[in-house]
Amino acid sequence: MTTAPDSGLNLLEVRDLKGGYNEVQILWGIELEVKSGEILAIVGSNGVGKTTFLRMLSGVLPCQSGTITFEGEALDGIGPDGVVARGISHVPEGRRLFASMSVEENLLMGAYVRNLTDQELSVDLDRVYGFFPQLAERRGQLAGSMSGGEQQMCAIGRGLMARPKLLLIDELSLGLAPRLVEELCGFVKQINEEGVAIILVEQDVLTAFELASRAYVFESGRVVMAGSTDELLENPEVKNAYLGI
Amino acid sequence: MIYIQILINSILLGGIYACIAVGFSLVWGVMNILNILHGTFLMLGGYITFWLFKLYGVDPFLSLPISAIVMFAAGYAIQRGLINKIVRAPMFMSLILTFGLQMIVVRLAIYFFTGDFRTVQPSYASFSISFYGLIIPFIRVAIFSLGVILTGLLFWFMAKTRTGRAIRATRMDLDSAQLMGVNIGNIYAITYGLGAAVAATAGSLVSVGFAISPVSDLEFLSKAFIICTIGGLGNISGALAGGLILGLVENFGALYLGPGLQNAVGYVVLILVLFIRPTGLLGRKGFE
Ligand SMILES: Nc1ncnc2c1ncn2[C@@H]1O[C@H](COP(=O)(O)OP(=O)(O)OP(=O)(O)O)[C@@H](O)[C@H]1O
Ligand SMILES: [Mg+2]
Repeated sequence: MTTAPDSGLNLLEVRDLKGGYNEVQILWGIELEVKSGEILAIVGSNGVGKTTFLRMLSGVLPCQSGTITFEGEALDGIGPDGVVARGISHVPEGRRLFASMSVEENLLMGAYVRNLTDQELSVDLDRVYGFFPQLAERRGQLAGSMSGGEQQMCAIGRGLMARPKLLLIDELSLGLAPRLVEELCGFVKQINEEGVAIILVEQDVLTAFELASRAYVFESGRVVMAGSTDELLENPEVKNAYLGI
Repeated sequence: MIYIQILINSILLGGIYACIAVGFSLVWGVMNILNILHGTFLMLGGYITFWLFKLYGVDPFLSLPISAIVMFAAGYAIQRGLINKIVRAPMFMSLILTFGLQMIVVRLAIYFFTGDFRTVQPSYASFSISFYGLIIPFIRVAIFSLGVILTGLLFWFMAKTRTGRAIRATRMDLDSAQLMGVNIGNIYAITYGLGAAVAATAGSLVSVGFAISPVSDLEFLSKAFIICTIGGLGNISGALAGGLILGLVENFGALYLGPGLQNAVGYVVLILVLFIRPTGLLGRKGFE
């Protein structure tokens, strides 16, 4: 299935990752790698374990076995705060903003582990407002009162405030109108062009494949296909199961 | 004139009531813990001030920071070592745990401090300002002002600091806060420590104007409970409003019904508020 890793180039390497919730095992030996600077897509139907996988990367869900290596060092036992500090930030499914905080306070929460001075913070805030000018206009507004698209921008901006090397985005397009999805995809590309690698988990396979150079297909907690998105788009199984062609 | 005097007394009392309640509200709002130890922290703060004054002649107002620091450390340790282990369990568990701890601490306090009522009597205890027939005791004004300043400090801390923001974030979405790298166990312990510190400082203030004993803790606890429920649980302005209302109700209750029923009036108002507005007058969900 997956090709042997050409080590050195990989930002993230996941080997034989198993785990789940209490007694229920969800992931059955995930093998996956992310190369520096790439956009990688993970696709699959509902409930196959995509979110579970991201939560294990972030350290909020413990793994049963297997290894996660980031920039050549194991991520074991460093906790979610350690993972963020090492340069992985997570834009969760459903955005999960702090609804009764302002947009700016949400962004500040993204930089929580970095413990910056006010001056350093304002540099990073300006960077995020540079990506998302709409957020700048709404910096004082309560995050919960914004539209879905703006909330997704805020969630991504909050993730960027940690200055990640790898950004995990769970369901970028969920519940958003096509025009907004297109706009958000533009932002994701822009962020990637600044050197941030991205794992994009998506229901919408076409959107994901358009952005990503490589993709993994999950099925019941396993990787069943992996490869470049161009190849996968031609694959009859993928066409049949995920593109409805 | 008597009404104005009672109004002034009520406001002065309300300020200290707010400060008695606000830590209880914080702990309940953020962690959903019904903290029976709250009154105990007040009582201990009062004794810290009393003993420092009695044994070393430390001015009661100078011992406030000592109360705060000592009880912050104690609160932090209790949450980190004990309550964090059961904080995901139903609220009933935290009630039993803090109730058990409360009984131990109060028994120890009776053993070491005796059950006698104590009060701190600095040399300036009897100063007062009087004009147009109104009497305003200096100590009450000082306690009121410091109580309001303390409540304001907590408000500022929650609104403006990185840690305060993390506490609010944890309250709003624990999972999401964790993804931001917030260490939940630590934030809970800080929250509980803050609740204990504010309570202890309030207790120190109370020990100057009022008499305390080891069993005063239950009276403090029930006041905090009434105030938070009247004002609305989990926000600082609710504690201020609730404190002022209770101050007014108790003082005017004493005027019309006699001092014997003064405390009962608070409960009547509590029940009325619960009927009319179960979330409390300024209540919202969660500590914001
Ligand atoms: N907190 C939980 N406790 C127990 N089981 C869970 C929990 N969260 C998810 N699951 C189960 O784990 C499995 C994988 O869920 P997961 O959320 O990882 O899927 P997903 O691929 O992200 O799906 P979706 O596309 O719907 O987001 C599902 O069967 C789900 O029911
Ligand atoms: Mg999911």
